[in-house]
Amino acid sequence: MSQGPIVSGKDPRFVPTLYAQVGKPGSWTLDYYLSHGGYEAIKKAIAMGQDAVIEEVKKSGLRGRGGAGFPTGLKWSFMPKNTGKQHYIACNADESEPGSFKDRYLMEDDPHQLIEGMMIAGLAIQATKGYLYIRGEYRRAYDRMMGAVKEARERGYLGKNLFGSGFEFEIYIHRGAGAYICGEETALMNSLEGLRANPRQKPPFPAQAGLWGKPTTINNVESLCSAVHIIQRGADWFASMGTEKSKGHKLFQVSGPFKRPGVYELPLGTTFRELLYDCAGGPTEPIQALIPGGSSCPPLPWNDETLDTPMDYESLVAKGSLLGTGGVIGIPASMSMVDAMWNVTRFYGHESCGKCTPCREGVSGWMVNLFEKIGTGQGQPGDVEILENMLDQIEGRSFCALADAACWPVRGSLKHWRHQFVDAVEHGKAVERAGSRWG
Amino acid sequence: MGFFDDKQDWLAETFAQYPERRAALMPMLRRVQQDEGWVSPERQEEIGQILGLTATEVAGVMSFYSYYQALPTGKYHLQVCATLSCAIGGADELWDELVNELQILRGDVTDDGLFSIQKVECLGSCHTAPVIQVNDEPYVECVTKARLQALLEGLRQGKKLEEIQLPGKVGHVVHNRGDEVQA
Amino acid sequence: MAKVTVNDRTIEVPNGTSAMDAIFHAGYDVPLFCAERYLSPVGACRMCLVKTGAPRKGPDGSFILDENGQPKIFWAPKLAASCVTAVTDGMAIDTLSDEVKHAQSGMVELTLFNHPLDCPTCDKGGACELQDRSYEYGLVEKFYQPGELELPLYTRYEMTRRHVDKHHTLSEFITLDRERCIHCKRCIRYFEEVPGDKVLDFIERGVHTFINTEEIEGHQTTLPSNFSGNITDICPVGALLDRTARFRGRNWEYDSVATTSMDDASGSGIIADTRSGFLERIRAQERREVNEAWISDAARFGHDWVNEGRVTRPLVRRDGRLVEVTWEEAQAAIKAGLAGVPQTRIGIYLPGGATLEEGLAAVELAQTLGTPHRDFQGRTETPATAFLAASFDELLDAQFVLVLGDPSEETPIVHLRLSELTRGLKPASKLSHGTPIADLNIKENVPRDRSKLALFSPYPAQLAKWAGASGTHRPGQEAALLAALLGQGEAPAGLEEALEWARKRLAESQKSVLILGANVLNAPEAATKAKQLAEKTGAKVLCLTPAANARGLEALGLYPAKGGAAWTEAGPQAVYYGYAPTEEQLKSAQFRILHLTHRNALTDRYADVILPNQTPYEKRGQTVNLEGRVLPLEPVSIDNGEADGAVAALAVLAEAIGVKPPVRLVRQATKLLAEKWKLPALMGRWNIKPASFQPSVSSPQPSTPVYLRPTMWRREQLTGAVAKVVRVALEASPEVARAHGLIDGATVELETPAGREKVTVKLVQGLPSGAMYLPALGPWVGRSLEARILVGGEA
Repeated sequence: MSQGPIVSGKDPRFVPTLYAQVGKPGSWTLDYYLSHGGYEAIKKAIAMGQDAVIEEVKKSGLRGRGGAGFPTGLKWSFMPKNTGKQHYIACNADESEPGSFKDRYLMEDDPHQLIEGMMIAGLAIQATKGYLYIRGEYRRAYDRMMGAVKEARERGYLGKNLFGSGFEFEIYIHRGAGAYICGEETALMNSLEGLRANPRQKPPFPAQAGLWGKPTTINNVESLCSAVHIIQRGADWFASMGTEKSKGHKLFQVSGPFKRPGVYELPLGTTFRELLYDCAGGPTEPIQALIPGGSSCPPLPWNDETLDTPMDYESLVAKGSLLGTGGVIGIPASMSMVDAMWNVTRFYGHESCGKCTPCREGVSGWMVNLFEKIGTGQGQPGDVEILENMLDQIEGRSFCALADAACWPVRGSLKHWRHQFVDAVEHGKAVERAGSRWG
Repeated sequence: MGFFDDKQDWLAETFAQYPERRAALMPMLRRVQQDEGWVSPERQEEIGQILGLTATEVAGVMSFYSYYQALPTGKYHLQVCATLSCAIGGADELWDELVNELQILRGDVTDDGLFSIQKVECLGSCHTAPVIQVNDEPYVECVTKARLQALLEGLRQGKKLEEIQLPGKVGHVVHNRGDEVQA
Repeated sequence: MAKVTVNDRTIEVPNGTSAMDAIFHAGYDVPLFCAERYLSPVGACRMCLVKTGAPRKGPDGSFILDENGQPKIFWAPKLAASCVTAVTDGMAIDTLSDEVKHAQSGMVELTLFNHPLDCPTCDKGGACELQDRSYEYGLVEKFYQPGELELPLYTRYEMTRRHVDKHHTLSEFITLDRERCIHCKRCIRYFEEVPGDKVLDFIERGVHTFINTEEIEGHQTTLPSNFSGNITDICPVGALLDRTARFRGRNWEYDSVATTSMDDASGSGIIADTRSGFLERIRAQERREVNEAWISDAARFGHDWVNEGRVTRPLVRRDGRLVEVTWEEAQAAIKAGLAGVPQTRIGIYLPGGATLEEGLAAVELAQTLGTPHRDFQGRTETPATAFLAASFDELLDAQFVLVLGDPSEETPIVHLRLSELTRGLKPASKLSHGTPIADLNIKENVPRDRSKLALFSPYPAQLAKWAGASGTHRPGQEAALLAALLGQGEAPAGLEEALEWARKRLAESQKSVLILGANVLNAPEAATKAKQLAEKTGAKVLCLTPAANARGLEALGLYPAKGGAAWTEAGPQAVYYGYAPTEEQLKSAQFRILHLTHRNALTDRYADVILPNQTPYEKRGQTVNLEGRVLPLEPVSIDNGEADGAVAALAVLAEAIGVKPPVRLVRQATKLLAEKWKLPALMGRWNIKPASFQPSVSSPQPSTPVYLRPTMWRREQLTGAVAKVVRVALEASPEVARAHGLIDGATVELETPAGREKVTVKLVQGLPSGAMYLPALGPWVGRSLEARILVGGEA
């Protein structure tokens, strides 16, 4: 256990950091943050200098925690240097993927950690301004972030000439208004600029022309918070956790019928079994499927093979799914997979921005209609084949990844639970309500 | 009188956050939505005039986001999350209960002007499903029949959301070391 | 340049070219809906998916080679939208493989399944991009034929299509069918990027997305833009349709002729669609040097007058009444009427939209007769030819442009070119298929560069929104403004800062352009100063002349010789007018030959002979636009009876006088123009040496002027839908109105060059004090009348 990389929360060498303060009384105040070494990382980063910070983050192997898993240090290194232009760091706190709720508590209970993370990123990409795009519904997170920014500003942790180093940084908070697509980085930029949140064409990439045409980097909340600890404890500490290509630790979220659903901080490479049984206390009713990382990831069947799969980027791809945001949803056996996918499809259909044909007509139109047809018991023979065929026509052909995200879970379900779809179509059975135990 | 006439300081502060005034569009829409419960065509026009946008542009942005309402809402706009984890937790049944209880559908307001309802997509509180958000307030989590009744009753009595005592267990964030923390 | 292989052909295209344009350049086809010339590519419709690949370099820095020793192509894992993919050197593009065809046919299916199948009643039918591409790219049997002996499936969508508003009236001119819309966003991008009037946008999102504009009272909508009609051209389906042409004919029934619009001096290319002798529809013709692919609403929708109430046969006055006769009888009547009139006292006056051929015939005849009385309607006091003309390409290249006037109304295309200037666009490159269809240099939501433009006008003008400095002034203050720009005098109060900024920008710019409105050209003192300014700064000039062919007719010498009467004056004993002149002019002549397309009360009262004239649509010939560019007019088959143009009419006149017509046929005039006048070939620019001009003495400003402000509409167009849209009102600031006892909404009668007119009073905030404003609706634009309000009405 004490040899080799750390791939279990039970490993004594594993130290939780991101969520270490979550739930502690008053954890969102500046004094509390300072009491456990707050704002030391940014001081250290300033002393290290921009290039060393990027190098350290690169070396740590940190990959974007927003779902796509793009290496954070590499992203920072794409930013042009000394352009004379205003650079921006935008923090993507539009956490909207069903099954994900980790960033919420990072902001509610440890806002200064995020502020410090944004400062480190700002230092690394020469941005003096940061925008925090926070999803509109997160009222408490917004209040806490606003309070923290105000406090930091008043006490000299934000502003000009920070810590006497000449480094300058300011944070502005922008609230979303109920649009999942804003989690797509270019749509987020449009939304920040006051436009309809349609994704933008890439190239130009945000690093070339982002917010208001200026070089911009967009990072997820958890990625930025991780950067704080990477700087503080060193890349080697971070890289000591996780697997070969998936380094570090991550926040996993459990929802569905489990004893203790919630957020768990674990090293990458931890198995589902540890997360779902040791942490979440095991299921409260029979589970048939597991969505491993937010609703866009193809569901996996609930069996020993799945439960023993390590949660890291590569292992899940090998199983035909994705790590995504680490939001694990358990679908109970009492709920038809048709119903579950109907719900997920309806979500993506509702959130489609309508810009491109496959997503607007395919996901938002056809798929939703077809699920409604099958789900209400009006399915006809051949509908499952049509559904499958349609996925071929949509996937990989849309403007942004939203349509892909809508296709993956359905495709995954058809792979493992095709019989349920065929059954629904052949017997014309309307799906039954899942939550009949509500009360 | 214009909505923003007496909010010039707030406007100035909002404009100062962005290099371009147009970016203030969403904050301005939200401000109107919060204060008035919806964004009327007159308000859209006013925002357009302040920002130098056509009313069409304002409507285009406003209708894109589901938070802004184009129809008047009740004093308490109840938003029920209907996405997967909440659906597993009984969001559909919760919705039916609400419709039954209040005898309204989406777009309606109860006769007393207190309630309007809307199904919304994932609110990001999947572990405490099902979830309701009242206006722009922090979530009401783990909504059971009893908790729903208590919520509606409290609101009817004019209590503030945080003052309403809801029965039963509240959801929790769980730390991997096993120490459970109340959310 | 980048070397690109499209299927089996290798071509070279400029770096930055889109893969789509490379495919077209190579002679292959790729389907598309959202890409459109002159608009930003957005990659939204996903129709143009192709397979792309590129060679890769190995660790040693040289290309990885395939088994044939050629650089190995590494194909991208996903198909790319070719409209938003820039080519790279060595790129390979595949448009023919099954993978590509499968994607394209799938996209056709997706595009079609909410699209109604009402092609038989759709005006776009037969000219519909969706129809064409469905036939060619949809329904690839391989993917849609379930079995070898089974029929292919036409759609797999067996659910109800989206039902939404099918007859949504966007404006008097445009109707929207929301069911047909395929959300390509061309129209929205067009409004944002080209005229900059953001009057249309997507509402809602996902499958519920629809386009809409602002509703005004009573759920009425308008599209407040001078360029709204262009969206009917670029709509790839029948969602946006021209209401003035709705249900008038099927596309294959129209006789389509490409000609030049004579509605303003821009020389915009148009396509006139006629059916059974009626002009039913006008569309934009792509003329990249001039109007690109856009025309103004006046040029598009103002055509109904051509079909209505035409003079189809000559008329002569017998016993006080006008009776229809043959051309021969008319000629005899002219001969009789001119008996005893000295040849030097016969006046010849052409309309401002006369062709070069007609102008030549008029000039030659006037010379033969030795008459000084010759002119064309709408000629400005200072000729446009006094200035060295800029071309539109030069306008785009300018570092600074100073506008005195209102291009949006005077010559609307200039508004669009200034839009490009402020977006920093340069003329598009030319590929084998013409203008790039997906030009990656064009971007969405580009902030406008205000440092390139300054604008001053006698009332608030639209283009001020893109100007770094702008201001309004009283009509008649132009000379003072220009004096300040020359550093010769004090700036008018309130404009000091703006003028100073413009002066500085002019001084520091190597390449600048002046744009002069009719208000400057009709104020000799101001025009003289404008010329000084142009000479001092080396700026070229665009003159927004009221007459469409002003530069051409001026260059031919069609203006009064010494002692001759100008078109604004009365004088000659006998007159030939190619238009309806003022009552004073008619009254003062003893014998009047009117060559008209339409009669009115005045012409019926005074005409001795009326000859049936052609509208500009019916003429063959050439015209010169404000850049000096020679452009063609082609006759459109409109039923006009025995109407003929001025060349023929002047020949009849000459013979009646008893002289040999110097020009008898249009073709002969065209030949003369080429040989004697060295007129360049079509599309070439006529290097007209700037005329020296003697500034005439400015007529004193009226004490209470009614300023005839420009509008793109002309009086004769005010019929049908146009009459509902164009409201002719006497506008005044509340202060001016109060001083004259005018009430908002009151009806007053005014004496104007077109006779007595009843108009409504409209109070407008922000208008300069000291003048009232009336739409000129024709050649008198930019001049001021003495306000003679005849009857004060009640509200």
